[in-house]
Amino acid sequence: MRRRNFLKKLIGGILGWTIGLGSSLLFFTQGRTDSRQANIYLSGFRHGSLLRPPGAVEELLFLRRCIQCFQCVEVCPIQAINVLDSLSSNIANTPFLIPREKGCNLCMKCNQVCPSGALLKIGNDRNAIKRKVKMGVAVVDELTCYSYIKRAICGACYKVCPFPDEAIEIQGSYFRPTVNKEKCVGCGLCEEICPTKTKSIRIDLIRTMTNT
Amino acid sequence: MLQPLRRIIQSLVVSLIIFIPLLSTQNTAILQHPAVPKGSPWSLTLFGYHISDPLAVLGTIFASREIYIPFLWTAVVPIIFTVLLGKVYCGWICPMNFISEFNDRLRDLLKKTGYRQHNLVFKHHHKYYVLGGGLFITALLGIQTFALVYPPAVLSREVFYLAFFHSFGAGLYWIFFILIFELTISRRWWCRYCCPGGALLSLVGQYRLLVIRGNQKVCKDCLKCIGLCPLGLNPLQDGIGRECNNCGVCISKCPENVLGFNLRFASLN
Repeated sequence: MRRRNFLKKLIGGILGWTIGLGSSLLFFTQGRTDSRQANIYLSGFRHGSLLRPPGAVEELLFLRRCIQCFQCVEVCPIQAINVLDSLSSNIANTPFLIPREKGCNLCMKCNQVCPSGALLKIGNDRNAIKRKVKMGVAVVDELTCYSYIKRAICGACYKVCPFPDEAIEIQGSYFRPTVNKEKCVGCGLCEEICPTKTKSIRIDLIRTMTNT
Repeated sequence: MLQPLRRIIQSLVVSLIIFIPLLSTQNTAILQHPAVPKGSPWSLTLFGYHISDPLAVLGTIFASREIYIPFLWTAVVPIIFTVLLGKVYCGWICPMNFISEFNDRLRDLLKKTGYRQHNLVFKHHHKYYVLGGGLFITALLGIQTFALVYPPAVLSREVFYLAFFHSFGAGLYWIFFILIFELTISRRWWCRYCCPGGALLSLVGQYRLLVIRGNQKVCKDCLKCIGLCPLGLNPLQDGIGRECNNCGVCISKCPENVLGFNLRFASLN
């Protein structure tokens, strides 16, 4: 009799959580309609995932491990890490980057402070960063890039790249950039600096929800 | 003497929660010192070491269905404190408790104006079912459900939203809901009957060393302590149970000085 009572109350607890979370889903599926929504969408949300800070484990495990303590947001010296407050999905309150607003300068402070192993520690060593960090991959849009359409001698992405001549190489008199996909860490500094309005060099995600 | 000390600790914690994120947006130099706690009560960094809420660790174990050993160590300090001193986190540190106690005073003021409030009374053990159901949902969906509802986590997150993104998040609605519910319908509803973090700390600190005890022969049965206890307990009988959070309100308000902090196994004289 006591066991039945216990089970009944446990089911009551589970039902309470279901109703509470479900009703919050109904309320917050609208999402926020501010000007950043397009930028968030373009920064990888269209792949069903987001550009995570350096050292992040695979996306599914990241969502399970991140305890939403915001220490990475607090420690980031250039305030490049963003969070969303929507309850519409499991990405709520988890850190991500919007490279067209601000790229990562690879200081590796965020994965030093992460307590729960969602971001794994990578030393401040340049070679370790080059070897271990893989946030995404830069892709050049050859139809709009000023150097490719011979509108300007640009090479801005080459100048800000933390690994020039390895991740991004320039060719020709117009400084046409090409990306070495093995060496690129996906920090997004090139996308931040790109002078075209639609950003002719963009970070594409490798780690999406589907191929984890 | 005990209650002013508790108020000072609580206000210190709340002011740290509010001002450290707001100052760290300005890259203040003094905040780089390792003695300044960075983060929130949910998980903070002090002298390069991480200290996390045991509920965060338990929730992460259930959500990821694996045990990440370095994260387990971060809960050791709170668990040692809870095993020795009981739920002192709830009574002395938790920012939601601080706000709720002022909300309780507001409730008394509202009562004086003639507003007829309800006071629904539930069972104290309901919070263990909230904890169990929450762990089941966490393991089923693989998301951190406790971080969405646990008020210390939500409150500090809202401060971060204000400091870094200049707006509040959705969690503030939840805090306001709890406060209004406690103000009008059920007194101290969240802490008494619902809080999963309080439930976990109750279970951990069940056999704690420091308890509130009193000699029943000296007691004159004025029953003041029962009305004053924030958790709605009878301190003479329940002070050694698992629900008491050792806040000491009953000790300071007892007219006969019957009650006091005692060791569990010491004899009363």
